[in-house]
Amino acid sequence: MTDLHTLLDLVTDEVETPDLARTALAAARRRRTRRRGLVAGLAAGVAVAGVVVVPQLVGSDPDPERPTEQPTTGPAPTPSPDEPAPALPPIPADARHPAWDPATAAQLPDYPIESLPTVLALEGSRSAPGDRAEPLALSRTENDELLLQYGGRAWYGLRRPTDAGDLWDSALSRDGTRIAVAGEGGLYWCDAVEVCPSWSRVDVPRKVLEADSRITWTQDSSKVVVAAFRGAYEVDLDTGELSDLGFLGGGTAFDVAPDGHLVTRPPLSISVTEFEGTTPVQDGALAPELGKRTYLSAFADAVAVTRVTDDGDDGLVVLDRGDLSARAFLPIEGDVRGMVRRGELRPVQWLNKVTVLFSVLDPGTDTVHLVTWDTHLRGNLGHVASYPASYDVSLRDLYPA
Amino acid sequence: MDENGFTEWVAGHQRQLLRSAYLLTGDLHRAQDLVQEALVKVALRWSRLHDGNPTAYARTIIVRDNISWWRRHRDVPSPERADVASASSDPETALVVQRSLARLAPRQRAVLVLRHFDDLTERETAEVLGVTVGTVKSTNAAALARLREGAPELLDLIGESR
Repeated sequence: MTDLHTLLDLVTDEVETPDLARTALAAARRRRTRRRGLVAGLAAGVAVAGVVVVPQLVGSDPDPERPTEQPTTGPAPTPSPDEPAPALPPIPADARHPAWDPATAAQLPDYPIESLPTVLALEGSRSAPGDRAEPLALSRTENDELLLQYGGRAWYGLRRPTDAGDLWDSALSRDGTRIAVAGEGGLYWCDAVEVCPSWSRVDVPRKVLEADSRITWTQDSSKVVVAAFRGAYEVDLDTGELSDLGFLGGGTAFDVAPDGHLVTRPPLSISVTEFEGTTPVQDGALAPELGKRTYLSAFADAVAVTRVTDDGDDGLVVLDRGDLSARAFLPIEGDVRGMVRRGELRPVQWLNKVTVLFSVLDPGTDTVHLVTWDTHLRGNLGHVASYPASYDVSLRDLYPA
Repeated sequence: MDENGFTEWVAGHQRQLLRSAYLLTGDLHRAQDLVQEALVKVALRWSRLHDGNPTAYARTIIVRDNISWWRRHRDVPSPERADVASASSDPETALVVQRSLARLAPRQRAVLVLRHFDDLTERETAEVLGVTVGTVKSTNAAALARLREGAPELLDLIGESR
């Protein structure tokens, strides 16, 4: 006879742990200076009304800064343990492009984008821009310095909000006119065109902000979506008005297509769900196997998604937004599962109707590369720019490029 | 940030946290994701946590994120033989235990793991879950009763329940 403790000990006595400290530190650094762009902001006109908040299951929270509400679940289908797993559609052979080794990213042919430097790093002396042009990129360094990039000119260092504390995220609006930052001190925004002469603090409840909060701008630059694992809120920067978007919590990948539909994929979902406001608008077609977590970027009639499978047939896939069939698949070599889990491989945005911009980390050089993928032809790839992995780079929309 | 201090703390606690998370989820990959996420959150707050109780904070994140996950997906997995075999020196017994745990509601499972594996007191368990001590007591009793009714093979292994 034994007791329950001994039995539970026996169940786990051979559990082994990888080097979690190193991975956690790397992820924490990246979150502090997170590479931006996996999810573009909400498109103009998206009506994101409030969502019903279900009662909290577990009572008070260990951290007073954490939200007390639990987000609702979106209606995207997930496999039930009581139902047989449905057969997911395969990726057609003619959609498959040649496999690519991300270690070769730096050697790819250049894909120049007008005005965008090929190295997004602190180079030369900092100086004020010569005019009031709209910035192309915002970078946050490992020391939480905020740097603006104006089409090849030197970086310009911004003054941080004085009472912001540790910064958890920063983001340049899609049109390049505003900057928002979230941190221990709250949520702030400034006028990027005027080089942020002052910061405005938005009065939001503490529940809105967490250490893993991520900022996504609406396309009209009037609001941001602040999403964390525990939930998400749309915040009107001028009024502080909140809309609960709880269905974007739980690690749900999301983006907004040009038609205003909110394109979402919760972890483990066997579909990609689109919302008009908070109403699902498609018929729940099945997507090819995508894995637990995904990152996605939506465009007019397609969505680019990361894919991780049990058999290692992993990479980036472009799905038709109508029937979720696979239009193109870029197999990527290496530990794609780990890369996706750590956020090191992400579609960033669409440069035109057929070209996806994605970011990938080269762990050998600790450099992030921005790479283009021509999804129509034979999967041609091009190198746009690179930056240190410790930077969080947020690009304005570059379409059409 | 004192990265050395954080690394030392992780080295001393990561295995227990992962074992606990595995018992909570029955899925090694998800357990690792939960622990990884908790460690990242601890790292982000290390300057304020290192003088306090980062382990309690991490455990709380793991337990509550797991319950949140379950609420969204209702995807409590069936115990995988491969997971069980790689996690235990006695896979057959481990499979019985994991199948039994899978019959519990997530909060019942959490109370069972916190009380009987992590050896937390009723008060500590209540703090992790954000509930009262009374709720911990009643949940623990309900969990054991559910095991008694639905998983007698587990109680055969135990002999008696606490």
